[in-house]
Amino acid sequence: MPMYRTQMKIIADVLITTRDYAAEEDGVGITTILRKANVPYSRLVHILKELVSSGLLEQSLVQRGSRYRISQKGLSFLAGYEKFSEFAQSFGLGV
Amino acid sequence: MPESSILGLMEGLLEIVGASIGFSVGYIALKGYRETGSSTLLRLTFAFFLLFLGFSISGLARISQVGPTTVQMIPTLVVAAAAFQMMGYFFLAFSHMIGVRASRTMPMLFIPFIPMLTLDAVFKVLSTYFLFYGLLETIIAYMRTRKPATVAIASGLGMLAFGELMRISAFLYPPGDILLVVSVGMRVFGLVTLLIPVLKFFAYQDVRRIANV
Repeated sequence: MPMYRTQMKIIADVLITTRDYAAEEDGVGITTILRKANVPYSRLVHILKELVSSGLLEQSLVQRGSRYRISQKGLSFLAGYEKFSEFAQSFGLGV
Repeated sequence: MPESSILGLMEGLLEIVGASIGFSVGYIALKGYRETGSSTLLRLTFAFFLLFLGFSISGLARISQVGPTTVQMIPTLVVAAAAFQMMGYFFLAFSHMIGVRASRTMPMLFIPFIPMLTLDAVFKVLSTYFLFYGLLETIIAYMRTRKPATVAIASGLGMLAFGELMRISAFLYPPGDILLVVSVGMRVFGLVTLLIPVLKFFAYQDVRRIANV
């Protein structure tokens, strides 16, 4: 039975990837986010634009493209998401 | 105190407990919706605040009726309480229906048999139906996630559903005092298990507070 992720889950997966895979200060590239969060390129570009404009991600332009780093606001959002996701899952629901 | 008054008091207290639990869960779900904007948490908020309203009205009405004389509960209050509870269980079941639609499988729907007695009875039958649907979907969710809290909620919903069924049977097949007592016991257990995610939520917050120190 295929389970489709909600928009919220996809955003959380993108934020988790930028949190967990940003080894250096300059952040994570789009290819890493594509692979780890498993989101199609066209959709990911749109999502990254939304997350940067809402302040959950910080974008920095480097020689070979853009790199993304999770902001403090993004970390707070993720903490809240994980907390309430656990709560909703108790009722057999996904956030 | 006559037996029917004792049962009325027990049911009233049960419903006050249900109202408190409904408020607790609804408050956390509202907090979650404010932080994440999740539509699932919004539906949970509606579900449990409606249950809080239904249980409060019914509980207060029952307790206020307990006394040496048997006085009928105001019919409007009875119907309003049953309607709010039905809407609460509907929102809970609806959240699962939305989830099933997202996974592209057929939702488990069937038309419940509704005895045309009173409006209150119709709402109670629909509530039972939504509870059973919620129970089945929660069991399916547990088979996917294997979270212990989900089993607890499933057993709670099951107790509530069977408790409601016993309550309906007690009225359809009088005298039903034993069935009513068992129904109250089952519903108390069912409502108390709904507190488990609330307790886990506050325990999680305490752990985070300690870790930050």
